[in-house]
Amino acid sequence: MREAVQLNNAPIREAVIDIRVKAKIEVEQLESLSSEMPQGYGEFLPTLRKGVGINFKEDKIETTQEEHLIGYRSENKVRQFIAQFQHDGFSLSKLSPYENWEAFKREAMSLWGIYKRLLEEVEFKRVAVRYINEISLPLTDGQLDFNQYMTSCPKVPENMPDMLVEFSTRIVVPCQEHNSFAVINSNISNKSTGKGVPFILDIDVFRNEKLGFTESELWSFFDNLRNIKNTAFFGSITKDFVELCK
Amino acid sequence: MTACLITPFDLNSSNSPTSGVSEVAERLKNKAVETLISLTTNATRKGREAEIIDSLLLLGHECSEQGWDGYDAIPIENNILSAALKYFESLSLEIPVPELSGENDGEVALEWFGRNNATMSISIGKGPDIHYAAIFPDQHKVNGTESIYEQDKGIIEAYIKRVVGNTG
Repeated sequence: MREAVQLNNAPIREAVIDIRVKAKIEVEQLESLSSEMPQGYGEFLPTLRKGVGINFKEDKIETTQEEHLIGYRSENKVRQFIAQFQHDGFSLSKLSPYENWEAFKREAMSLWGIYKRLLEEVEFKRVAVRYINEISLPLTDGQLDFNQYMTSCPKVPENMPDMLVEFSTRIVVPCQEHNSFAVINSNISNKSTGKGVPFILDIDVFRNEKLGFTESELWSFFDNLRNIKNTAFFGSITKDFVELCK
Repeated sequence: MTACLITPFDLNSSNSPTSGVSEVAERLKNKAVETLISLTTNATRKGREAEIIDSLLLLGHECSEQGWDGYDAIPIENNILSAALKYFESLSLEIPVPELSGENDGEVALEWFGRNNATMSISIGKGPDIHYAAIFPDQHKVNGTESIYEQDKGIIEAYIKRVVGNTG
């Protein structure tokens, strides 16, 4: 397995720190958080959950949509953070360019502190980190050898042509030491760009039980989730992949 | 060797990934929904069944989380989606495909509409009963409860036909 190294050009398109709580906050209360946001965050925009219906009437097919307000989001366009405050939890996304874990975690702690003041009692339901990586893998003579860049590619059945135009895999790995699970999605599409073949490595590490954390334990635990993510990421890639990210 | 661990794993948590806001996250979500529908929709299946299956899949996707309506809605479980499909398949072929919607108690509503705001609604949940209510074109109303296992669906079908206007 590759050791975790600092990547100057990390392929992280989005990193997420997510905290779901058992209590439900009235959505109207969430809007009051807008006055407490740090400098740099824009206006509170409503987050809607949409439902789609398909209606078969005689010979016509009509679609209907319903929308429900579930919270608000606020964006720091300079630092590329998007904070979401919802009736059942809080999440912070960091879009590329990614800086480092400590800066990301620090920002999440600060904004979580604003959110949790609305909670009478803090009871966690699920905590997670998710890193979505995307990189274009270069072609050589119009072809790509997946094994050059990835340690675990799907195998084509015997007696079939040893080539793929597309794949999508999802595995769920238990991480018993931390009562957590890592969901690892990898995806190659056949939509080659001028730069190569787009490859997505999406790692979602979460825990949804035995969540009686104190505040300091919570943020220490996020360090554990991040370490599991790093193990999954660096265990999925080869040194040639690392070279693409330098 | 990679071992398969048999453990009481709550699939619901892994099937609802941590939400992302980026364009890549949206692409991944749409791809997952497309894959699910393509895996479960069979091109050789008759069109009527395929239509309702697609609708149920979409409904299940949209109503899979606690509070899906922005408040306290209960997730719609797969067994309820299956029960709704089986119930519809037990109706005669004359009955048109209904509109589907989720109810905040986790039940699925099958609805048919007709002229003059006529409506027939059947709610299917965990229990052995279905609950129905209808307003006919002449504004008369009926409602009731019936076993989901009732073999004779004549009354229900008659109400649906009266709403959609197939009673002649």
